[in-house]
Amino acid sequence: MNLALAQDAPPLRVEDLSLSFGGNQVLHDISLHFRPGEITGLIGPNGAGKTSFFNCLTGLYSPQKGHILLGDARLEHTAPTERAALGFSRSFQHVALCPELSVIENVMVGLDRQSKAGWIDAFLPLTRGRAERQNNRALALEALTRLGIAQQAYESPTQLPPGMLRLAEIARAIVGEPRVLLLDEPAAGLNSVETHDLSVALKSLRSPQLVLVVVEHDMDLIMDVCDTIHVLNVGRVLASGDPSHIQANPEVVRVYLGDDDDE
Amino acid sequence: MADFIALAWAGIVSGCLYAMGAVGIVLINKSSKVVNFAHGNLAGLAAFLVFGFTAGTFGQMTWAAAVILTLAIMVAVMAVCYLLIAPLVFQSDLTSTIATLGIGLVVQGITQLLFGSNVVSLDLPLPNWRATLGPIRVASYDLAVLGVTAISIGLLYLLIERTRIGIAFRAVSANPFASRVCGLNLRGVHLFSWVVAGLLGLVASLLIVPTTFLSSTSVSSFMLQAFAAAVVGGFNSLPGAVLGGIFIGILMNLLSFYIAAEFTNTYLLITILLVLNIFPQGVLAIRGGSRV
Amino acid sequence: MLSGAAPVSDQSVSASNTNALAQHDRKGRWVTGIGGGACLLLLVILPLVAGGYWTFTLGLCFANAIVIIAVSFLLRYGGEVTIGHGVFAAAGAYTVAMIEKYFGLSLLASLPVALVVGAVLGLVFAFPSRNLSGIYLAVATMALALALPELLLHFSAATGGYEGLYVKLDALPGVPKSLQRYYLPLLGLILVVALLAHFRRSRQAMALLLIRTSAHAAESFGVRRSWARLSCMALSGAIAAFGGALLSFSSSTVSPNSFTLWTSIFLLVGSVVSLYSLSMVGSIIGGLFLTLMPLLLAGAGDWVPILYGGALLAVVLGVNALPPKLRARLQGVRA
Ligand SMILES: Nc1ncnc2c1ncn2[C@@H]1O[C@H](COP(=O)(O)OP(=O)(O)OP(=O)(O)O)[C@@H](O)[C@H]1O
Ligand SMILES: [Mg+2]
Repeated sequence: MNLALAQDAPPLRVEDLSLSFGGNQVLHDISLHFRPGEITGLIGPNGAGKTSFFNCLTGLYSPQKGHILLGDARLEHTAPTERAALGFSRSFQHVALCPELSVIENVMVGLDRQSKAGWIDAFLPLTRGRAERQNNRALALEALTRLGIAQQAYESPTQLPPGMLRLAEIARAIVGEPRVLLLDEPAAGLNSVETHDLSVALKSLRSPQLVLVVVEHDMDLIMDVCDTIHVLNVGRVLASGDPSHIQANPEVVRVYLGDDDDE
Repeated sequence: MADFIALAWAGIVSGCLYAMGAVGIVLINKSSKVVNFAHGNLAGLAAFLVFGFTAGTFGQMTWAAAVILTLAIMVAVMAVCYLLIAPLVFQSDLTSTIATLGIGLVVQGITQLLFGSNVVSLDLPLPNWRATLGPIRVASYDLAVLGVTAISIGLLYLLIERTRIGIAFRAVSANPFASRVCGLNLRGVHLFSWVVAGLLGLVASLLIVPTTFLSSTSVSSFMLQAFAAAVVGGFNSLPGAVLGGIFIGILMNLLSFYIAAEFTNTYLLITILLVLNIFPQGVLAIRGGSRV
Repeated sequence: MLSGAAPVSDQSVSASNTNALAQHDRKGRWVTGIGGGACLLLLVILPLVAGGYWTFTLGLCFANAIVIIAVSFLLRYGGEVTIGHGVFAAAGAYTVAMIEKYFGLSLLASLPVALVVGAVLGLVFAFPSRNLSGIYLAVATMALALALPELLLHFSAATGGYEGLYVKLDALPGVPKSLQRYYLPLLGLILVVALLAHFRRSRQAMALLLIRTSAHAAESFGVRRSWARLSCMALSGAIAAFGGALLSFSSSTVSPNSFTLWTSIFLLVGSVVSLYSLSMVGSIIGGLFLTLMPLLLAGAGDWVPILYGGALLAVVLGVNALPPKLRARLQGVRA
């Protein structure tokens, strides 16, 4: 990565974001700053609004108030697909893979927005489309390899355990060289070996080109990989700081103690 | 202007019938996400059963007896239909919807087998009374339609607002998953909606027969009106279905008078497409965001 | 960004694994290839041994199979039920007949036009509901199927009204008519199946399949719902019109009677019976069902809807009752 590019990478800022469903205020005036080159953790007890926050960032939910800025570009009225085109990418808390596609094909969908093959290539075996497909396949395999599930590349998601599906989902999120990567509970359902592989993979993703935000309940993982952590509680930012800071914060500990026993 | 009012009045009357059909479709869709394409065929069978019981195919009962007997039979028929597709309902809405087409075909065939494909006439036992109010000509038939519709919809309202099964129905249509977790019997609610829809279909088909004739396909040919009414109402709202029915009734009357009568289905097609484009959620939108 | 990081050994393991997989795949492909080739050969030489009646019926069967594939395509890739595909077939059929009537051109010239007409009709029709999911399209297709006869009869000067039009011109001069009516639909079917098999591996197909099962995920990866809707409908419409064009050629007539709501419903039944298959075998089974049932049941009259409906229910419920693994295999989920 050269330096000129590194300076170009824009930060992601959120200002006064509020979201409600009917009378249920899910997010209250959230203002946060996510820097490229860092791994930011977003934690909080169940129902804190973490997933809803991600959904606002990717455009699946429309917040009633507030701004989302990538660099200087205002995004709050941009459609999800256009945000994808800007480099937003994410994984879902409830795995959203297509059962009719093999694992690697699911991952290849993550490359869709930067692929050029048109309808002619879709129906006729022309060289350009074929080359692109082979290239995408190689990239997808590489992403799967990083997460340690290349063996399962050609299997159907219906036949894999939840941990593998979660990793496949993360592979899909990272394969397209995103500029903003949002991972929603990437370690849920993983065993300790897989979690370790994941943490290695996450650290290797850290790059000056990438804003990486991780929502996670696994505190060991969060404390291990994150540079900055924001704590969300019932829709408000409770605390922000580096891992040691957060661990020492008595309020965070109190909020989490109530939550810990059901995990 | 006089024409217009008279047409609108007649449109309201036939619109009530479309509304009852639409309410049946929406009921089933709300409870189980299935679009029941067999609705018209089932209603047609019901009308023929009444014909059979009064006109001699099966007996020569009085109207009241025939209707009550048919109501009972329709409860059973609807239950059987639901039980047939029951294994599919939780698997896939798509497959269940396809299965209702199969049911519709079978019901259609049974109707033809039992009653032949000839046209028969079935007259309602109504007094021969009519009056003129300005431009509007009111016949006893019109009043019967309005009255019966009002009573049926009113009863349905009470059933949904005031009874246990009605509350369960509302809960299930708002959030099937949560209702299931709370221990509600989804099957019971589905069955409820099928049976109620079947009974509404019977009432609507009996009332619609005097405007045309009765043949094995005449009732199901009004299906499209009912579907259009449901679409106009948003497909997911009972009041919407009622208003949609009346809207479609009036609109079709006006269009066939002022433009041309032979394009009913084309008008319906255009109406459906326009409504989908302009009011994607129906005219009375109830927007429910899906969770991610 | 993604280079490096992975241990080398891991990569080689995965490479050898995929190699083995590929080899296994290749072997399977050989077996099916030889079997399929034999069946195809049988179909190709059939007209030389079978009588004219069978040649004629099978020709219709292949054309029907193409229209059935259009229905199955929409179900598989779009997740939509249609009971109006008779209209798209009619669009193709009338295109052929009218081009013959007004321009004196044969099927070969009108086939591409029929494709375009079908696609445009699909686009126009899907456009109003492009942002909606669920059942609206099914309802709208029903309206479409019911509206078609009204329009055909109204514009009877062009469409021939009740009687319809004839398709008489030879597509391949010099070849006996009966053979043309057999081989052209067969060729069309092979073409459609081959193109769709290639399509399955394209990025468009993967995007469509993903948006069908998880719309929010697909949107987050840049796949637009309206794009998916419109392209599914356009492709399906084009395939159906292609099939309809061949149907008119094989049966040599088109009339409103052959494109009623019942036609469209029976097409859906055919698609269900073929298990929404996009393959040769599946679609021919569906086509045979659609073409032969009416002939077999000619004397049965009122039993026809019961048998069709019963077949549909039996297949749908029967498949549902199978164990999940077998069901997935039958429906070819992992193509
Ligand atoms: N589509 C929706 N409609 C209504 N309420 C919603 C919707 N999505 C989320 N909510 C509500 O928003 C609140 C926050 O939910 P969210 O899923 O964002 O929490 P979370 O922090 O991700 O929790 P968890 O750790 O359990 O994943 C909850 O009260 C939830 O009920
Ligand atoms: Mg969450």
